[in-house]
Amino acid sequence: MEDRSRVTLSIAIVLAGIILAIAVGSLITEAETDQAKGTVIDYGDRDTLWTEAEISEYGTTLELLEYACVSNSLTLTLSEDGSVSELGGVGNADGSEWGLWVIYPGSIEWVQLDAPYTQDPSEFTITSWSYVAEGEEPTVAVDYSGNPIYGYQQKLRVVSLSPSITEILGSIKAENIIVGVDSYSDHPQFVVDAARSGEIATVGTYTSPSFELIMGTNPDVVFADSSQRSHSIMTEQLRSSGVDAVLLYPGEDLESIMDNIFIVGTVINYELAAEEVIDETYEVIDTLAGHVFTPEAGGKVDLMISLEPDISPWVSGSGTYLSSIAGLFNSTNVFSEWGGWVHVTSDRIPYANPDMIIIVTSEYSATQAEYDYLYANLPAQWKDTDAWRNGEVYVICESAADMVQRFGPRTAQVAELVAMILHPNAFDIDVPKIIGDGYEQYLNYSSYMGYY
Amino acid sequence: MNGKTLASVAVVVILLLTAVLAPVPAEASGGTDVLLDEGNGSTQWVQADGTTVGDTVSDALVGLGREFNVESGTIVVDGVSSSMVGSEDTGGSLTESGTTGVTVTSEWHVFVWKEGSWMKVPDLGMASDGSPLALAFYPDGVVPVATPDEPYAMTMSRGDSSNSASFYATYVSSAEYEITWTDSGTAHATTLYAGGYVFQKYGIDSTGSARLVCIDADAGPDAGYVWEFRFISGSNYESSTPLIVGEYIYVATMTGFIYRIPLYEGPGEGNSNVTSIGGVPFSEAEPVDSFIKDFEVGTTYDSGFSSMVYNSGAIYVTHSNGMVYCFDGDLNLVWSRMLNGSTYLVAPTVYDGHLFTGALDGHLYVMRADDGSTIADGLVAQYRYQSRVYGGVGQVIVQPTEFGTYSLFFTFSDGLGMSQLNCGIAVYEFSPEDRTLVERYRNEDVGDLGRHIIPVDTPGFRGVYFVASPDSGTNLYRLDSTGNLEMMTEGLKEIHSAPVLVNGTYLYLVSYSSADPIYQISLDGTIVGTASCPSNIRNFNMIPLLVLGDIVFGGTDSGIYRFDGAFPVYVAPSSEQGQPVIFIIAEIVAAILIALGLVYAVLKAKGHERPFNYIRTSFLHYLYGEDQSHNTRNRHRLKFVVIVGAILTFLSFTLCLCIGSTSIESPMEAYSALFSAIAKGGVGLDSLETTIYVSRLPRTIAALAVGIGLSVAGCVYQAIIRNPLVDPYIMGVSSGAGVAAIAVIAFDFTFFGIFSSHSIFLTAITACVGGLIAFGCTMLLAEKSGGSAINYVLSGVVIGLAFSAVQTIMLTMAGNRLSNALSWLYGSFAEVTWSQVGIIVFLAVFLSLVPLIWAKELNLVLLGEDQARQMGLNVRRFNRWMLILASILTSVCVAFCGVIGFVGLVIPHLCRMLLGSDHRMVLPASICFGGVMLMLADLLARTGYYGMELPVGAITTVIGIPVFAYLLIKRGRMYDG
Repeated sequence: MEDRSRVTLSIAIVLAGIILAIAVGSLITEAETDQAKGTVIDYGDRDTLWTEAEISEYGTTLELLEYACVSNSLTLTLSEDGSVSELGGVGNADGSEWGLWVIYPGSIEWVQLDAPYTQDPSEFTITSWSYVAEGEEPTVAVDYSGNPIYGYQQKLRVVSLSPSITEILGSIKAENIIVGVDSYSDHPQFVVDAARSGEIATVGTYTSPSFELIMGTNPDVVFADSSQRSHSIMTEQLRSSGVDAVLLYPGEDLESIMDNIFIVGTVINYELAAEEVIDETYEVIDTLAGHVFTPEAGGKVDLMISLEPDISPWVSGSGTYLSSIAGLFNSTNVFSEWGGWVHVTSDRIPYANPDMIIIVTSEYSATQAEYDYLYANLPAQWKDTDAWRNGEVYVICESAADMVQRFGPRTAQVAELVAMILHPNAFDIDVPKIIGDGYEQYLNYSSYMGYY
Repeated sequence: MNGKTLASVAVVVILLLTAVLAPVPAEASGGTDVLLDEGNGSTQWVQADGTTVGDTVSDALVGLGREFNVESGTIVVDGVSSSMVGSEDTGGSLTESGTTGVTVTSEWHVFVWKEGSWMKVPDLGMASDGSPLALAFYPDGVVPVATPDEPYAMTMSRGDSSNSASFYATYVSSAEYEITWTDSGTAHATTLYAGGYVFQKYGIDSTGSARLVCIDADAGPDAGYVWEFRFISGSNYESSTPLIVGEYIYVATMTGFIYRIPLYEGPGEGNSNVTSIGGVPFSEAEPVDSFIKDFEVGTTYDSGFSSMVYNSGAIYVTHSNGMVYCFDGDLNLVWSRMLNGSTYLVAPTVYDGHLFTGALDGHLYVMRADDGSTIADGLVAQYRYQSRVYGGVGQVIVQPTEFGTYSLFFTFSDGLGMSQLNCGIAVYEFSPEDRTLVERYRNEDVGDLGRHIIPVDTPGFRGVYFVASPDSGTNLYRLDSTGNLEMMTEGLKEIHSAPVLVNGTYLYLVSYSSADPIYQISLDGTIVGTASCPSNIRNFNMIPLLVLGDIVFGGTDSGIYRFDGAFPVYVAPSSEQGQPVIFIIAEIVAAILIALGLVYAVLKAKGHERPFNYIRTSFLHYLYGEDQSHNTRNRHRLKFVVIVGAILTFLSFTLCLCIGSTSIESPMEAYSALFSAIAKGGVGLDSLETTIYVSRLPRTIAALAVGIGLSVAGCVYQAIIRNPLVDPYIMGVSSGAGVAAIAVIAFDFTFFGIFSSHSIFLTAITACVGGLIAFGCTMLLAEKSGGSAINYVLSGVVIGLAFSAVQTIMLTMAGNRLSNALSWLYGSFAEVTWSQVGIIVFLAVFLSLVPLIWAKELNLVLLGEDQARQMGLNVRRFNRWMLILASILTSVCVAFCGVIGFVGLVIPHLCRMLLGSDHRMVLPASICFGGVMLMLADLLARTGYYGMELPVGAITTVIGIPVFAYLLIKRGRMYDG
């Protein structure tokens, strides 16, 4: 064959490959976010009312709202400019008012729309009539992938892909409907026992769940954690196979953890239990804050949170779970200029000069001997801090270390532990310098919650 | 008190006795078969003699210990001649309690079996000619469902209106059961049986509607459904069971409709034969309101009707809206009664003129079956979670006591279904005279309980059997009315379906997981036999078996099945996972041995002294024969490589489909599931089809394509650069792709907003572009520095290092997303979906074909640039284009599945060592073996460590190294000089 014709043939093959690939690629429409079949009335503070409705029958968002009010026997008053002035007996008051908030397909951000409410509700993933204070946003209504959290059927077979989700399910007393968990889920004990006896299937590890094992449990719904990329992808895969999957928010702070509990509760119709957990958590945190923000408790604490007592350790910057919890209790993270966990240079430690150091580690066990050894052998840079000089170095290890790194429903317990360590004077308890498996015995305010 | 039903109790007792003592009642003496049909689902056959029809029936009843008289033309059995349900209109409607004025009267009728149907006997004095007779308690116009040809029928969810779930059946066969047929669908409703047909209600399928199908029990669904009725359902769970009465089947839906369909004729064209509540045609049917009253107690998972029961001409059904309804046979409302909570799924129990049902307010209600007026109502279970009250009562089992009262057995719970936190079992005594309900026994410590229990009345025991799961493990218990609780069988698998009792002798229990056994247990608690669910509808089992002796029907979330034969004797389970594979291997080995034996024999017969030596010599001659021309030899070798490669590819592909982390299928099963999944177009798949088609097939295909792509790319690079250490990543492609992918994964790079951050193509396309940018840099540098092959290598290494450095820095800053980024870098097929497979396959395979056209030039290049130039090749230009091609190929492969090492390095070498350095053979061989290797590596990656995805790149290395080392020792000399 001639060179020229071979070149042509080669180009033809390459082009054919590219064209076929593009053709196949364009045939596949990416899974779009579902349209919620209904609307939300949101009184604020995660007190929401979901009304199922056939969206196409309502030409405007206002008609949809009117339907929701009629079917729930709620009053609705509009002001002259067409905005909502009163809904279900709650009227606009100082700083808080009713408004229409929507989420557009492909987004997870709330957008507020103004009256007149003539928008077509089918343009949005979800519409929410929310009673919102200035500068705040409505109650979460879509998961991290932008899918509405309302309108699911009752779920009887639930799979959790992360330890914190398993804990959430446990906290809202839904552990009996769990049929699969990831292999890292080690709390509550019921799940561990059931997974060991085979009643609950293990569907892979936290970082790499197995599609085949998940499908093998024939789940009604799968909860995934958006901080794992494999989970986001698994969510898509499951949805394209017709299995409901919900992608939770990265639990970086208290609010997003509470949102996650709310979402799980809403999806599996355990709203009441979820609400109870959320309310109690806030109650505990308020009580703790009441103790902490007093003159006796002492002033603001400059805090360093570290993993392992290394010369140049990994420390918590801002935006980690532990740092945000500690931030609730009159403390400042000395490394807050960085985000996430950072590998810090050793000379930054004396420079930052924390008042207190918390080491979260799985390497030590909670005995005084181990603590003394660790304390004595800390690197010189660490010893050049007020924290070391004043003996304010705390170690959280064993199961307590697991707990404080897991953004789940035990937030109240974590908060109490952290508040206690930060401000021992505010609490009538002798806090040991090293806390491990027995952490429960030091808890007072959060112990009644009963799921740790 | 209603004497008729008291009598029927006596009949049941006697029947159970006879069932135990004489398992085959048909063998009793007598001439004419007589059917006694109580008009509530309970039937029995006896044989009797007599000259007239009246005498024969009388003889039959006397034989059963029943009293039979004819008073002025009216038949009276045990003092009962007729019953009436309904009374004058008190304003009852679908939403308001009360009666409607509609009445239904039932009487005893005698039928004779003529020409294949029951004909009403006008005169009891008619001569009896031996034709089967039936005495049945029905309204005018209703005929018995059981016939002499099909003596057993299953007409309602638990067999009769007292929910006794008892079957009378003849066991004949001793042969081990076989699966006769299966049918797919979501079976949450009990299977019904009448006249040789099976009736099954299935939940929503891929068409979005639910359906009721009629299947010829012998021919099975393969012969086509006898008829199919589709209806709209809002629910995945169509859990309520239809009802068969006379010539109709009634189906109540979770959306609040009830339809009546002619039993054998079906719905007809456009559902013209179907009527609904109020007797209206299908097109005018209206659902019952699912919400009438806010109870502020409990919740239901789903709305709609419960299963229905039929008694004395009336249909009884409850609804999640809190109403109990009584309809006549034309679906006219007779009466309705509002309770103080939703009732859910469980059929009411109608017994002796009373209706018993629980509601989610934790109350047990007893009402008159004829007008719905309340007789008694008692709080039996209530739990408070948060501010809300929850309660639930399971199906009520009634047993009369000797004092004119009734023992009521039922389970109770907080009404949260499978998520219940509290539950127990109780015995109450109900006195119709005093209108009281008194608790006699209560136990909340037996663990998880279902809603269904089963009455047993034998000489040795009177009470109920039930399954409960305390802590871990599931046990069978029995409980009598005085509260004696005994554990009968320990350590069963988890059971969710209701138990059934056959001939008063055996209980049948179906494990929830279809991997666990279906049990046949005698009443003393011994497991007599077990069976297992057919593999093609493996799923969760929620519904009870329908046992007709040697014929058994059952169902799962994926479909229903029929067994014929006896359950094999139970042996304690052993873990025999993996056995199929051993069998398969054994079969293959045996087949090879036989084939070799045959060849040996044939050659021996042809006169060859040492047949195998002969084969070996001629084979080697075929491949290496010195007397053949170079080209002929090569052609032979190529043929050999392609055939072996194709066979290996097929075998590996099959292996990848058959083996997974959940189960191992035989190749037949795997391919049949695959083909049926393809036939369904990938929608509405059952669990095995999903496993094969959705989770195993796409990644296997992707592994094949990427394996081909990487080995061809490696082959091309090695030829152009003339260095054996070169792999496809030598041009920096992997590092560039890595930087781009990490930017997406750890730093939310969205390609300047072109893609949404959740797009499945984002990482892939960004990585591909990143790889190409890196190659672009390499090329730029190489061309600036002279453009020779060695310039390319050096530039590639430098650029690769530069990108790697950026990558490392990015990883350090990735924080808690580090593991996400690393998992991409390690390479894996875990995240490949169908939507990506098409792109990978077409790009990788087509681009891999191009070098085949240029194999001769690649051979020339291998000789060195100068020599190639002398042979008339524009080396620079050729090299450049080949490098571009190989780099695009590599980028595509890397883009979708990360960096997979070793394949591109080793496969070309393996092929060279085996076949010499002629690219006309090395390239096709690389295509064959690259795919095989990566498919097998991916198989190991997903099954090697239970449930965890291992990095496939590491696996390729682990399995590749020994082979490579062996060949290196054997053939390493070819690299000398």
